[in-house]
Amino acid sequence: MGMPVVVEIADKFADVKDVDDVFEYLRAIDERFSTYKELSEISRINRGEILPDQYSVEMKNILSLCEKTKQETEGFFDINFNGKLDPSGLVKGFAINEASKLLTAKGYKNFYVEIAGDVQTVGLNSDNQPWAIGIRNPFNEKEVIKIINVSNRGVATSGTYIRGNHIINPITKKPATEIISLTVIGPDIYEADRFATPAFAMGLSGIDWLENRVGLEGYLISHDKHAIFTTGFSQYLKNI
Amino acid sequence: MTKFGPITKYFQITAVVGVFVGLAFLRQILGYNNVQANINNQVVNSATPNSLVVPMSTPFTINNRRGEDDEDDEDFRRVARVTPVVTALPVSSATPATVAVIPPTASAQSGQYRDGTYTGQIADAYYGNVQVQLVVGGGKITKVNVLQFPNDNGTSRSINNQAMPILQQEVIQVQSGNINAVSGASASSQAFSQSLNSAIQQAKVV
Repeated sequence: MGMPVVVEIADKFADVKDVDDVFEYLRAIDERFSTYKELSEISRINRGEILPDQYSVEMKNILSLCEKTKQETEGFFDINFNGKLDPSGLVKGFAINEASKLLTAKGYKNFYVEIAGDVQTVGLNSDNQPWAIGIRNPFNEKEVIKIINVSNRGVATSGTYIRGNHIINPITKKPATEIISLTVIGPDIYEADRFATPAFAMGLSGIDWLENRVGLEGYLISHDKHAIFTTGFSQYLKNI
Repeated sequence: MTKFGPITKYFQITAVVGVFVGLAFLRQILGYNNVQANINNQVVNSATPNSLVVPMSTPFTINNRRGEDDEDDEDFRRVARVTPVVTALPVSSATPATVAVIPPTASAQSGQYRDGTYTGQIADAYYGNVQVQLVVGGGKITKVNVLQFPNDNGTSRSINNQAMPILQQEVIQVQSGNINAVSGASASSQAFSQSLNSAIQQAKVV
C-alpha cells in the first residue's frame, strides 16, 4: 500500500523488537491484501487465479467482514468495483487493530499505531494525557482544524482531497463529491475505519447515519468549510 | 460567525430560523418590540441579533443545511431542525425538554416582564413545529420549557428512517496545540509523511 506506519509507545520500557514484530505483521497483511502487489492473494483472486474454496482463512475472514459491513451500511460499503474486489477500506483498520492487540499482548499499555492517517490509541501519551489527534484541514494539508483527545479509541478520516475523488458511491456508481472530509471516532480503529468510507459515500446523510450508530462519532466537513458533528463528538474536545 | 464558546458549556443557535423562532416568540408573548434579555450574562437584543448564546442546559439548536435547490432532490435539500442536543434527552422523545435560562441581571430592569407562564405559538421550523413556554417570575425570565420539537419522522429522509437528531455545526478554524498524530485522508507515503511532519511541527509552535 506504500503507506507510512507510525508506532509510538509511551510506556516506560519499550523494546524495538516488539515494534519490529508489528511491522512484520503489517507487511504480511500487505503482502496478502494489497491490490498494488501483483502477487498478492487479492490480486490473484481478481485475475481469477484462485477459486473461492482456495481462499486463505485470512481472506475468507476479511471478505466475510466486508459482507457484514455492506449489510450494516445498506450497501454503502461495497468492495466490488468494476468486477474486482478491493477490501482495503476495511483491511487497513483491521490491520491497525490487530497490530494494537499484538502490542497489548506484549504488555504495552500506552501507545498508538497509525497508518496513513488512521489511528488506534491505547492508554495515555507521555504527558499522561489522552492522545491528542489533529484532524487535518482538507483545504490546507499543513493545518489542523480540530484536536481531539482520545484514549482507547480509533480515529479514521475519509476524504477526497488528497488523491482526488477516490471514493465511489456504490449506490449511484458515481464519485462521492458532496462532502470533503469525514472523521469517525469509534471504539477501536477497525470500527472507525470500516464505517468512514461508506459514511463518506452517503454525503451529508453520513453524519446522521453515524449519529444513529451507537459508539460512533463523526466530524464532517463540507465544501463551504462548515463542519457538522455528532452530539457525542464534543466529549473528545478539551474543555477550555 | 463568532467563535464557539466552550462547546461543552454553550450551544450557539446559528441559523436565522433559530433566532427568528426564539426572539419572535419572546417579542410576541412579552409584548415588546425590542426585547432585551440577559441570557447567560450576554445581552441579547431582538432587534439586531445574529446569534443567541444559551446555556448548555438549553438543549436545542438549529442546524440549517444548505444544499441543492432542486426540490426534487429529496435527500439534500435545505433541512432545518430543532431537537435536543443533550445526549441524555432522547431525540424522538415526547417529553418536553427543559431549558434553563439564567435570569436577567440587574442591568435588565426589574419588572420588565409580566409574571406568569406564557405558552408561545407553534412555530414552523421548516420541517416541523416548535413550541416553547416561558416562565416569568419577579419580572425576570426564570425558565423556558420546550413543549414541542420536531422528531423528523416523515418530514425528512434518513438512511434508516430513524428519527434524525440535530447536529451542531461550526465554521472550521485552524487550531494549534500539541498533537501526537494527525488524522486525514490517505495519501501516498511521501506526501503524507511531509504533511504529517509539517502539521505536527506547526501544531507544536503555539
